Amino acid sequence: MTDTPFTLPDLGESDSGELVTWLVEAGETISEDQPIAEVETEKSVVEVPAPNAGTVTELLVEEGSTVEVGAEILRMEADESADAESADAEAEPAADSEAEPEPTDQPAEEVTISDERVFAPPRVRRLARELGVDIASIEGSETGGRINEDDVRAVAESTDEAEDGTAGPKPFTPSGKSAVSKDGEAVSGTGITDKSESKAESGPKPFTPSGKSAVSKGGEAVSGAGMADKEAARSAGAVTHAAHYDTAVVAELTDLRAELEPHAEAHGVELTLLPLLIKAVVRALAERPTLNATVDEDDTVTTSDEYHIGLAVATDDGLAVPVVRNADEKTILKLADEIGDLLDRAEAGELTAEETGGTFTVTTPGAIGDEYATLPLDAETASLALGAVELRPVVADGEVVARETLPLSLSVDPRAVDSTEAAAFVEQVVGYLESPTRLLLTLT
Amino acid sequence: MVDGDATETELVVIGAGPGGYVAAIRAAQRDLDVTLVEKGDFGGTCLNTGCIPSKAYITATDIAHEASNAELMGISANPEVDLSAMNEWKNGVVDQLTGGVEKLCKANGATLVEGTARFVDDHTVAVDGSEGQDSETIAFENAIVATGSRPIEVPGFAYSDEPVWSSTDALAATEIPDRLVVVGGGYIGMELSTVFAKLGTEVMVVEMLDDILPQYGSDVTKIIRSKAEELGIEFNFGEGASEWTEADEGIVVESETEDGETSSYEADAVLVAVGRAPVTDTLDLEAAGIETTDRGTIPTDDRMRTNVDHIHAIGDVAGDPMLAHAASKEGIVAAEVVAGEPAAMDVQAVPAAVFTDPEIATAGMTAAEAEEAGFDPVVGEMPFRASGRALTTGHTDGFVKIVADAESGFVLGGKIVGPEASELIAEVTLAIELGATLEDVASTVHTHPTLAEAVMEAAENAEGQAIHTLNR
Ligand SMILES: Cc1cc2nc3c(=O)[nH]c(=O)nc-3n(C[C@H](O)[C@H](O)[C@H](O)COP(=O)(O)OP(=O)(O)OC[C@H]3O[C@@H](n4cnc5c(N)ncnc54)[C@H](O)[C@@H]3O)c2cc1C
Repeated sequence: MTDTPFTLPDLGESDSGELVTWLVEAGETISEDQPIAEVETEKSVVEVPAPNAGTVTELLVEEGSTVEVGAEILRMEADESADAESADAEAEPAADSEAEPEPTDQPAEEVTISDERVFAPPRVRRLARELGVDIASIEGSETGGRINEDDVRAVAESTDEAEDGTAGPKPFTPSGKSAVSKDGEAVSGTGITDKSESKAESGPKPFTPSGKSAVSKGGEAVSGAGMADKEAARSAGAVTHAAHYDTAVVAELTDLRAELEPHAEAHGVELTLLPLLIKAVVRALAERPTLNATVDEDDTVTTSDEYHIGLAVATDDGLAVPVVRNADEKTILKLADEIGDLLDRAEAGELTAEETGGTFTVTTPGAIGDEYATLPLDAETASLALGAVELRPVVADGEVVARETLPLSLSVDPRAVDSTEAAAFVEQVVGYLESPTRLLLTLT
Repeated sequence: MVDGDATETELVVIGAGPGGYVAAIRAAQRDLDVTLVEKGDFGGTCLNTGCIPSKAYITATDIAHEASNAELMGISANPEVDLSAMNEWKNGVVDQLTGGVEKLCKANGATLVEGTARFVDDHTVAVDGSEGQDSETIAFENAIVATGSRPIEVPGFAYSDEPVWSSTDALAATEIPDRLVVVGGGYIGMELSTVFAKLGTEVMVVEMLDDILPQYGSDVTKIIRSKAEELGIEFNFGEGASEWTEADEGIVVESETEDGETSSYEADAVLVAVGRAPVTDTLDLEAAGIETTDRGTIPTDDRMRTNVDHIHAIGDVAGDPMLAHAASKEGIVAAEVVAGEPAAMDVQAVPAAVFTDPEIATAGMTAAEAEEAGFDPVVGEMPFRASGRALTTGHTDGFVKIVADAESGFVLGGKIVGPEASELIAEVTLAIELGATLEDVASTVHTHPTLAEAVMEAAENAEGQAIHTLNR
């Protein structure tokens, strides 16, 4: 066993960054792709994944110091079987490690072919066998229930995740899946994790990426980006997941809500901030389609022209992700009504499969208890976490004053969304939240 | 018998018919070290004594028949047929194909071994060469059994007797018999009856059941029977052939009904085509612990594995459907499974064709089967008499029927009787495999004027909007 250094990988947009937090410590055993540090650049915070499985021997930089890309940040002993690769750790920090192969690399369990008529082309049926999915149990997302590749992959992923209790914290599977398993087990579509999982996540960092989602597969997933201007992400070992944050001063928004509240009440609807927030998000999404999209294993980005917004909420049974369908087509009143109902039923654990499966996910304020939370992205290209609205100090006209602010944090898959787009999206959402009357311009 | 050193191979394939040779080529393409053992001719039944020679004869006799029946088109001819020349031509076709198969196997890197393979244990076969040569031992990691089938004999009718023909004998005949009794009204019996009827032979079909090709339904058999009768074929249903005797001129074939009523038919030869039985007696399956069914076929799972995991069985020896393209598909699946790929026999439809006049072809479910499977079937139909192209060929008997699920529109099955039905079924089969809908088929532009337009029209008819038929 040799002790090898690990250097700061390509950050995508800058040559250096501040190492804000170590997520591991010396002596800790880590798995491949496990986030080891948070590094902050000008406008984003990124998590650096472990190059392979092993044991951390020494942290070489202190929190708060600025680190150049390529500088050594820690030393680690790679696991025996990963030794060979660890020699290349610098060049290929996320090279496949045999210590902990991705579940999909293992031969999938053999599925028996059902006699039932299956509506899926031969290549999709073969893919199902490859991934160990019983295709006869899938309800396809196409007309008439025809099954496509995405449906199969969605079920395969959710099954993997449900089966794999060992791999890191896994708060929940984001929606954005169209396929559900007919018998309802291990389905991403329900959006609700089981109890044991939700317990595992009650630690301090509930929303760190799972290390399992498509985005977190290290060098493999980012290589060969499907879209232009993803050079940064393309280089091996580049960060595989990026967060952009900002804070909106939402005094106008809260005023607006207060003004509308009695009118909503007259309709028997309780108006929270959430419908207004969703309107702002949908508006911004409409202008940046790559954020309302999914990306598959081949790095192909599929945008959606429908806006189904998943709301990640904490319930007693863990996290649920009910979905507001076609949020762009609904009035604020209607959204408020629907959200109230969805959240009630999410709380009661009564969501149906049709009520899950969004195109973009928003983590609702209060679901997290942490201002800047990051969702695992899975197949979705982006998700937005909203913090709680609180009085916080802000600088206005050269003076520090207390204002109601709302922190937000956007997670993106760098294969689909580059940092400029991500930053522009956040800026836009902030713009709408700070002067919500702008939303009137696009009211339909 | 078995000599010292065994040759080693990753995969041994026994039998080089359309199952075995396809499996061997696919395995070689996957870089497996593969040995293909064949005791007879490369290409198996299909290329040597089955599909290919029978289709050669069908085409040739069609030409003769058409030429002498085209007065309506202004053509008068009285073609003279030299059966032994036709036979030679057919042999040339067969040789070309079987030679090609052998070359392909070699070029892909399969090792070819001539001889009869039998299992010594579950990892060894012995190959007995032809003329008392020493046998060769081959140690294998995996095996694919593809030994095919042979014609069933009817008691009292030994193929070794000169006037008693198997399909193989019929396809090797050099003289046209004046009178021929055909025992069995299945697809082989009907195809060959048609061939000889078109050559001018008086054909008498003796069939135990009360219809020919009963599995295709009366809408189909009605058309086939009436055309056959036009050709002079005589049907005797509900009778089983019991014996044959020499007569002054030719032979007499006796038959018996269930109630013991007997009939006799004077003929020059009797063709027995009552089905085919799997060939396993050459193999010593027990030595490898491979189980068989009561029928003698080798049962397999959806990966074509026998009860012994690393030994696969494909084609006729593995049971129904005993068709060449099924054998080939199973061969591909078995080879890929051996290569560690996620292959399986998961096809949604294995089409079947009968090359009678007119042809029959089916794929997928009938309306009744669809209903049983829980669908709400709709059936669209296009009769060929409404097809411009069919009219120009002079063959307007028959129809295209397409079965779909009313709610989703998914194509579930098809049944075609008519000219080129064997070709036309391919489109329906593709629609079934892909999970295509009636609308998909109907919206696809079909070349005009072609018979294939009838498939599109049938799909439109199922949707209640065919152009060239009334939508009732
Ligand atoms: C007259 C006729 C017409 C037909 N027409 C059609 C048609 O139009 N369409 C269609 O799809 N099908 C047709 N068939 C059926 C088709 O021929 C068979 O389904 C097909 O040949 C089966 O292929 P197979 O590879 O399983 O076996 P086969 O083709 O029978 O090949 C098996 C091979 O294994 C060899 N063998 C056997 N035992 C051993 C041993 N112990 N060691 C070494 N070699 C051995 C045999 O010599 C043979 O070459 C027809 C059959 C007949 C008889």
